[in-house]
Amino acid sequence: MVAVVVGLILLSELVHSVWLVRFPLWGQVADPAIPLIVAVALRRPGWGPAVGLGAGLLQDLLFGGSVGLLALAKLVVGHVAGVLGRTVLVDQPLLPWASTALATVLQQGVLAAVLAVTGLLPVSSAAFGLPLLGQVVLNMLAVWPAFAAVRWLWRGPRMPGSRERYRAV
Amino acid sequence: MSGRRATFLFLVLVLAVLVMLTGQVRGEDRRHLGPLGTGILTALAPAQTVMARAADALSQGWQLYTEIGRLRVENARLREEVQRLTREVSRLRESAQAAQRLEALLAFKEQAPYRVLAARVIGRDPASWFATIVVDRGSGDGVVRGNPVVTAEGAVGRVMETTPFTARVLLLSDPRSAVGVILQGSREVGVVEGNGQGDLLIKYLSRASAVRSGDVVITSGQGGVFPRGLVIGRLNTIRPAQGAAVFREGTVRPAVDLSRLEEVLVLLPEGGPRH
Repeated sequence: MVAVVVGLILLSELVHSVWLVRFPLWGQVADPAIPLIVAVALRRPGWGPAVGLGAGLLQDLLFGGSVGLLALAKLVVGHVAGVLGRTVLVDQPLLPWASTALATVLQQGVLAAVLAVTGLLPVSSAAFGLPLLGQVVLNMLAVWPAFAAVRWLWRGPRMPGSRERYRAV
Repeated sequence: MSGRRATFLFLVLVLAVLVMLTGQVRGEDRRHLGPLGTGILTALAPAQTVMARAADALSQGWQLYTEIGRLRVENARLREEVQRLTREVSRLRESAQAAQRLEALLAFKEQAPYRVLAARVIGRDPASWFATIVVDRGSGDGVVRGNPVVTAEGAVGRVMETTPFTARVLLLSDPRSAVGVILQGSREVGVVEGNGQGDLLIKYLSRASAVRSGDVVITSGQGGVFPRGLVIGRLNTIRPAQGAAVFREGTVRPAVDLSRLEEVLVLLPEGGPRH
């Protein structure tokens, strides 16, 4: 199962870095890793941080930024998605889209914070305007394939999380 | 995995990544892959290459497809342009030919000792055994039955009926047409009749005369319709007349192509309205 998840992440990042970058919309490129991390973390909350870290490191390698930048952002996303997976009923129909949108915003926030602290790049509030909205929309386009793949991966009945008691949506 | 343990693991991972990131930020390029990162990228490179080539092939296929569509539109536009230019060339060629014909008619009109009226052919006889045309000049223009009709090349026929605006011309090639003629070289007298075909018949040539093929045939002025000296054509063939020992007959190639008339001149009697 771990190998399949690693394969999924590899495939999504190859698609991301080779194919999706050829079709930017509104200056943004869809990031299929985010819905995949969220989908895995909602289904297997303990895997969230590891999957996020792996996907982020892979992106750091494949793209030209400092290694660890996206890894840290996606690690946070995976952890928060895991927390969500432990506390809400994850089979609600709108949860994949809502959680992917939130994860995208969260990643942007973490990236901005890290960039500001480390001084790697100047951070502008404009990055949270229309570009972020475009990124959210594009990432939500990848929700269906990511969640379908994870559903196919774990076809058996899902065990409820240890503290699962809230309805998020 | 319990929540507390997960949180602990998360914090450890965050710390590790922060350490790694700090090391990166201190570097010259703010990026250091290390042997592991280089190895991973090396391993992924073939897959990236294959996927990029596949994307390139798809992209080129799509470009080719859109190019075909663009070329199809361009081709249709160019075809339309060619058709338009062809029509334009045809129209200009037609105008040039009409101008040449009209120039010849004008030259004839200036030389001829008659009053002449230029007319345009507006109709032809659809029946193959008669040969008539309709011109756009009629009795309102002074045209009357019997007026000779000519072109710059020679005689065409005579007016057989008129309306106020049009006139029907009996061509020389009509079987009902008969014109008194003289052979210009031998001065032999005869009669040219139509036979409904291309060449005209010439009859009543004296057997004793020395007529030769190629002799120019002109109107004799006898009969009161055609003035003397209008060119009919050239003697084409000559043979003894059947059943008449004293005559010969033959065929005359008309000077005017009677099947392709477009503009003609009607010769008017002196004293009529001038045009």
